[in-house]
Amino acid sequence: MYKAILYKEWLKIRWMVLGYLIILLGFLTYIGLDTRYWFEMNDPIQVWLVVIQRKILYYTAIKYIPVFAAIVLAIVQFVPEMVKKRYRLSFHLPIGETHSLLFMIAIGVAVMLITSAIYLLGLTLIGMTFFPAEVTRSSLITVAPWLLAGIVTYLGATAVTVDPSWKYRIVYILLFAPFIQSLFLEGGYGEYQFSFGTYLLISLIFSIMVLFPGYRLRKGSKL
Amino acid sequence: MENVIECVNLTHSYGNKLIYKDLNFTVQKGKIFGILGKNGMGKTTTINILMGFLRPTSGKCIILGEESHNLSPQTRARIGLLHEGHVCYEFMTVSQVEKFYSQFFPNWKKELYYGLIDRLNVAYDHKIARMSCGQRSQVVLGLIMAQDPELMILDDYSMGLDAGYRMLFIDYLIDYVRENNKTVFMTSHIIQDLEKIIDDAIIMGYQKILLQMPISQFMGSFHQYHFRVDGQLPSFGIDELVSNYENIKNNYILYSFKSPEEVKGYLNKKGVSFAEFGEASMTLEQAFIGLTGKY
Amino acid sequence: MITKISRYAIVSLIVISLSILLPDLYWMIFGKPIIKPSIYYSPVIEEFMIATRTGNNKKEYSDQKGNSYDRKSFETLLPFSFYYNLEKWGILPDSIKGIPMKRTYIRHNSQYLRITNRAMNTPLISLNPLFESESDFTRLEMPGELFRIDQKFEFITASDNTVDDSLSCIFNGALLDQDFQFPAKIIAGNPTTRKPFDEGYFIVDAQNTVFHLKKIKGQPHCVKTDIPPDLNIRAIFISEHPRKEFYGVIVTWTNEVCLITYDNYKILQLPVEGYRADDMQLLLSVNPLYQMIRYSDMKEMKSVVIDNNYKIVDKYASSWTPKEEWKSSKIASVLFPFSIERTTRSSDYVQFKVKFNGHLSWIGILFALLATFICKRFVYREKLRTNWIDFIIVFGTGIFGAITVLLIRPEPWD
Repeated sequence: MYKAILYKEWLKIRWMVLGYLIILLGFLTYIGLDTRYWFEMNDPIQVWLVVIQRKILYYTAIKYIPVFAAIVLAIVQFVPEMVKKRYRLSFHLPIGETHSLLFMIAIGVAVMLITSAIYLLGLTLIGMTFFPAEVTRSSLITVAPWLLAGIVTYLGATAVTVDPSWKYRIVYILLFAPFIQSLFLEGGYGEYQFSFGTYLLISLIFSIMVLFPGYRLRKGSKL
Repeated sequence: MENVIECVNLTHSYGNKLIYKDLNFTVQKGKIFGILGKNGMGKTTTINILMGFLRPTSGKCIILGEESHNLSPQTRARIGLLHEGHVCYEFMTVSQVEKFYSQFFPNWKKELYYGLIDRLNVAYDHKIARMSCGQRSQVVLGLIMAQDPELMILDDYSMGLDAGYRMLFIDYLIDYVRENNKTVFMTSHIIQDLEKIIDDAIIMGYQKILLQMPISQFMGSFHQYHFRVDGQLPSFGIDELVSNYENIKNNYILYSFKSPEEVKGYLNKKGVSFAEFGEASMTLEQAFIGLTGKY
Repeated sequence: MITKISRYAIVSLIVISLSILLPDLYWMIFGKPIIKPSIYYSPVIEEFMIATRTGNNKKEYSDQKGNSYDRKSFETLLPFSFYYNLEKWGILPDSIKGIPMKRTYIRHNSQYLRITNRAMNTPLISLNPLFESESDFTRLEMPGELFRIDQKFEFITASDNTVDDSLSCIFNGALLDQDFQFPAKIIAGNPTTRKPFDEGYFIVDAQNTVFHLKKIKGQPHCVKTDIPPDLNIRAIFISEHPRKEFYGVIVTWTNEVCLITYDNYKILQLPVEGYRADDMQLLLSVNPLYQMIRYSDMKEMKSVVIDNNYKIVDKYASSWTPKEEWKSSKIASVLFPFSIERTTRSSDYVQFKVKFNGHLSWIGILFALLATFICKRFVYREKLRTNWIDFIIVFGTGIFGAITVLLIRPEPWD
């Protein structure tokens, strides 16, 4: 049964995932080429020092990509379930709605995790090509909150999409935003190294968040 | 006989707007049960409650032994739903949707699905989104039949279908249901189709059930009388005897469950001077309108 | 059950968001800047002088005793700070207390060293350029490699991003010769060519011994200093200055501030009573006659003047109404039981710190509970008994919880 759900989710998101992969690889290529150009045009040691001392980073182009991708993913995955009340099909399947909803979410989170891994891999490659290991390591630590923001945004966006009432949707949008914005306060590099764990823990709360809107949808909530 | 659906004191309201109060009805195993009512009388609300997508304000609805808004997965597997507008995973193709559903139901009858599809002349990799309403209705029916459920709940199967597809749908359905002793709960806005198939029906009126009886009994006991009135034109209240009436100038049509003699007696008692009294035969649709009124 | 928990998940997140958003909005409307006074010490009247910025970008000038001055007479009493103005006005004295009042002399003997709490709380990749300290040329030149000191000393060449083994080996050997214990805990220097000369790096090794490393004529010059290893060093700030009196300043984890002098790395502790490195900014300003240390947080500033023999000449403490005592802070305390602090002025690190607002919050919590009860009981007509946790949430989070549980209402649970 889970295989069937995986199959359905895959049919919905495959083009989006493919598009995202292309965009992602495109951005990583761009960062790689841009960094190379930077080194070509300047004294390499100056580039290093600009990164280390002035904290001007070569990978900020991808800062908001995971968040945008997460919103699109949630839309692509859940809007087809919502139009024409198609969620009723899912809810009537002989599988617990909590399990099926969480499984659908898990698939989206898996997409975000896999793409995050590709980000980290790409940044590792670029970093190792041009910079000392310390800079590469710090780049991975620095993008971690951005990638986490992607996952959190995905979970938030699914809750927004699934809830049956616009009033609740607007509340979710307005009041999930400050937390997500909390993951973009970075001014330099590595600034989340002491608090990332806390943000990660709070983000875990997001993981079961979709169940409440799902329940409201299932029971035809009038609130 | 075993009751497949049992609704007790079902009450529902949206905010302060009461839809109906204390609805009671049962559906027996092996019956095709229809719910008739004009728009806004709570047909959809009832269907939503039965399908488990709406929790009634009070009262309860027991389906196959469980409360409808809290059905276990096992019970859901025994119920086939046809959603209004033939809702379907339209992003899938004919074969994909079969592949998807087949994994949920142990008694999946693939041949029933493809038997229906093969009549449509569509390729298996045809996307459902690109099908006509009629074709889609067959896909949906095929899926429900392949699921082999004990109870089928069909919400306005006729919506968007032309006469041919409606006929096709009904033919297949009746054939399948009778052969396999299935229970069906259905609504339709095309009442003439239902006449052929439903065993039992409820007719919903404003905030209540007007009537629940087998359709043959209804057709046998509900009469349309017509007569001409000479002199002053009378007006009737809706009561025990008069279910409804209408008049164009002095030509009256009166609907009643009573015999011609009783009606005549009633008219005489009211001092109405009438002539050309007669009874006309009705289709179910006419009888339905006669009972519920045109407006 | 899990759907019920799911609602509490949403509720907690919205509470978190509100405790970020509402206090932010509040201070956006009612916040005002904290204006710290500028404190000087006049060698003429031997008193502290205070310049305070008031509204409209105007300044008020006074001395320690409260006498007011106009700007010109104020600056006249502070010749080491405003000698260029005095010179322009033609009133620069020839000498003060035996110090010749020459522009070049004053400039040459004036030094400023700022230690900010932010600089101590910032992530910094420990890769630095080692300059040639005794070059044949006047200007410092950027080398082609950066060094790291982990398990060994390594130079990484920027042009090909590889370790320069031969050069690394030489420097590694020099450190080992001095009994250096890898890895380095602190590497402190000024990695810029914009300084008059280079003093290399002060490096704290794994055993807390402080080493002084320079590159002289391409060769390592490593000194194992006598700076006591039990000093508990937190940070070192180096400031190359032609006065060549001290290399820089050590800040310890016990909030001591010491100068590393050119006198064989002898340590001189500065009189900074009540200094807290995490909360305070410290400015050491040296002029030909005195050294003045000013350190301040958001509610007070302490100033100490010492002479060139490091004897205390005078002290001055000034304070102002701290933000906590503002009327708007009191109102905020009533409104918000806590707020979540993510960034601060004192650190570059992003935090997630819950800051409680004290006893006044109970008033707000009481109102929040009352409002929640009235709304739930009489407006929404919810079943209070099945959703009693909502009241616990409001009890713990006041207005944030109240807004949230009234927005995200409990469903009739199965």
